[in-house]
Amino acid sequence: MMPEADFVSAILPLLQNNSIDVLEWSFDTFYDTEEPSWLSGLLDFYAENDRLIGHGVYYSLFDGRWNDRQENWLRKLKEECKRRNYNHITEHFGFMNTENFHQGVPLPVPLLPKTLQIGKDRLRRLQDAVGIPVGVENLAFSFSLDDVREQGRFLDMLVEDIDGFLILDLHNIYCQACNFEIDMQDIISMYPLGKVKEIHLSGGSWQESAYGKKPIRRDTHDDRIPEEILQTLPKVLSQCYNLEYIIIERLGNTLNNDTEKQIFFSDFNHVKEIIEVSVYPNVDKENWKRAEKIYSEPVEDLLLHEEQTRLTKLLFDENNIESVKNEQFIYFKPENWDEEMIMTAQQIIKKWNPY
Amino acid sequence: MKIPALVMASLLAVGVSGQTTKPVKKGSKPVKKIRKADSPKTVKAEPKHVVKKDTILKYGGGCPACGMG
Repeated sequence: MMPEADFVSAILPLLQNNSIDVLEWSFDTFYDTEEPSWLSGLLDFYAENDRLIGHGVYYSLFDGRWNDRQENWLRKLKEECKRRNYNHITEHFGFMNTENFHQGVPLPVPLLPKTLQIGKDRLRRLQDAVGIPVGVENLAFSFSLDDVREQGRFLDMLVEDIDGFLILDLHNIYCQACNFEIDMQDIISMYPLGKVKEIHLSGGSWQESAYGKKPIRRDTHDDRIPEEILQTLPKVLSQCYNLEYIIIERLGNTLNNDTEKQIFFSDFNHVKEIIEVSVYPNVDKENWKRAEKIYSEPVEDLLLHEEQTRLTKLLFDENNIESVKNEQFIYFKPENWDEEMIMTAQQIIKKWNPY
Repeated sequence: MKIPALVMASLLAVGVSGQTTKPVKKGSKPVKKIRKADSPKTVKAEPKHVVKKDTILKYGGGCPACGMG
């Protein structure tokens, strides 16, 4: 659900004929903001009918330091969950550590004992705060093929302690497939598909290559769902035997003319048709086992935090690619990163993350 | 699951009037002036053309969180 008038106008026919079974709401985008009454009314209605799921953006699962911002984020989430009944809460993989966190962008961390420990700690705190199932979404951005290859395993281990689940964002996988020239299904098979409870679908755009190579795929949520994703969907549905929700994501300000609206409806109906004819494996779903609350001090690693801050700044300052690759880190290995993806990170971080 | 008439009426009003939904800040926190980023050149599909200028959308205007937006 997006709060823009264009978006509401576009989805009205779907709401009127009761086609939208579930809404996903990014609750933390309105933490410091008054909700318009129409939005509150709609979200409350879906919540009262057990049809609302929450999708966080700004918690940051892998920041090396535990800070007041995250403490406040959890406090506000607790209030939100008291106010509205969410079926579950999800967040994104990656770290986001800027002073102005509302304009951060998550970047991947390598799978190491310490990063895993920090991620588990943050997720545990989130779980303790809400008392409903918690999940994590795969990240589209990767610096290298190694990032792509290890994310499924990383996510699997990350949600283990809280009996958590995954959101499999197929457009994020599509971005990685295009940018690293690897088959979508090959990436998907690296994920623990039994833990996937939610699928995200969306479109995006192409960014011209700085090196005159193939364009870079970006997850901009502003266009139709690519055909390759729709073709892959039936097989994915047959593999994700604990799947409960399929969400189509679209930026609220990108449905401002009839052509775009028609594309959106066409995608929506196409996905519905695929879901209706899909064959789901007949598997008994296990009940969620809530982990008991355990008080512990937040896990921190100041070296990781320093490196995350330095990396973010380095990318924001648009240092030349060689100097980024030559920067000395312990946790990060920029010497192994794809030049094109470093440049893409610079552009994305500049877009969302002005210091 | 039918959306109640009252909720639907408010949605219709938003949709029809094109009512601005720019969020209103709850507090009166001072806003730090920020430098607007240059737009990376993006193209949508072939034939190549520039899709749109990037905009800093502060609240509810988008989701940077997938990491490739």
